[in-house]
Amino acid sequence: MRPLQLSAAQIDVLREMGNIGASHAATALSKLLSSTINMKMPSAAVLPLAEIAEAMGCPDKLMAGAYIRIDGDFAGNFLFFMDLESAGRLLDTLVAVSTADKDEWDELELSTFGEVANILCASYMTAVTNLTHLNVHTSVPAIAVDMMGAMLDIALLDSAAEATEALLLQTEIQRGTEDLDAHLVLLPDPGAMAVLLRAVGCWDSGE
Amino acid sequence: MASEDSSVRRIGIGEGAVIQRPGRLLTVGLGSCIGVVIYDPYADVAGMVHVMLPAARDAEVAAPPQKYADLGTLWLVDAVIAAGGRPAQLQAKLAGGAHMFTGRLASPALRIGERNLESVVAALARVRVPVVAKDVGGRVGRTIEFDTATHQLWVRTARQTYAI
Repeated sequence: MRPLQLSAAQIDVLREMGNIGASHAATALSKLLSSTINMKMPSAAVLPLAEIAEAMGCPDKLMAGAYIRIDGDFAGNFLFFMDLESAGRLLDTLVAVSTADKDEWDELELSTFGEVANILCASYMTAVTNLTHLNVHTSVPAIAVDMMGAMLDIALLDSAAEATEALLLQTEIQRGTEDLDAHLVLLPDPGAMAVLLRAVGCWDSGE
Repeated sequence: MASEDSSVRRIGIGEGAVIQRPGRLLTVGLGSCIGVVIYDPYADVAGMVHVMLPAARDAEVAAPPQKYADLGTLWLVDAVIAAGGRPAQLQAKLAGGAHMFTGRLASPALRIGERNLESVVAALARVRVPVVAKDVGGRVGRTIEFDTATHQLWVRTARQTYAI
């Protein structure tokens, strides 16, 4: 099994794709909530699978998470995580339900959160596919309220069969001055990196 | 479940380690993965592996073995024996293998917990290591910590903490 060999320049290109994707997603969220959404500088890194949960922050923090599978010209997993307080405010804005101090959500709350993730994923992937002229389709979302690390653990499975490392494209977003603790994550499958880089002319024939 | 102690050995996803008493073994955020603990209660040696996938697709890509439920379990049994455990005294405790996500997405990745569990149980049966306790399946993620002094496996979920 060969480790992923990406140059610093190639990682920069992938980070920029993550940046463009996340900007579109943040804009979509901003419209949805009619409020300003700020985005932190996205991070991109090739990490051993064992270190990805740590790199995301606190792996046993309870969060709402959505998992969306991406397939087509390239494949990967899209994840949207939000801490429960922020997610509660989001749901309150959208459907006027209160999830305050609740770590078990009902059907309406879960599916609303899933729809938000759907919109963010579609915006993110539209930006990436416009840039790369590639076609992908996105699955319906799967939703959970649980430890972030345990949700990530499932999202890493698609990389695990072929690689010991994965590319983590992560962006944190904030709502105005409030701390909206949310993460947009794209984990391309091992084979997807070459496809993405080739599409923007950054893949040399050798490596 | 005091995990701030310096004698806690953290096991990442797809990793494994063997330690001596009185240390502790910790793995954070088991979703569909399984945390397998194998220990010899008399020789004071214990190991943990955090396996992700039921089985290696082919032997060529099977390195490192710790990622796979079958190979990782067998690797751990060998590693505990190499560290002084006696084969006839080994015991196993298991946690994880949840099916956490809800929604209409029917992805095989989301149902892998069950298959991981079957694969671990089959591997343990093959080498005749009894499973003395398990906390598996369900819909919740788990963080687990094994105490080599008491042989208790502490399980922490989003809602509660208990020992098995």
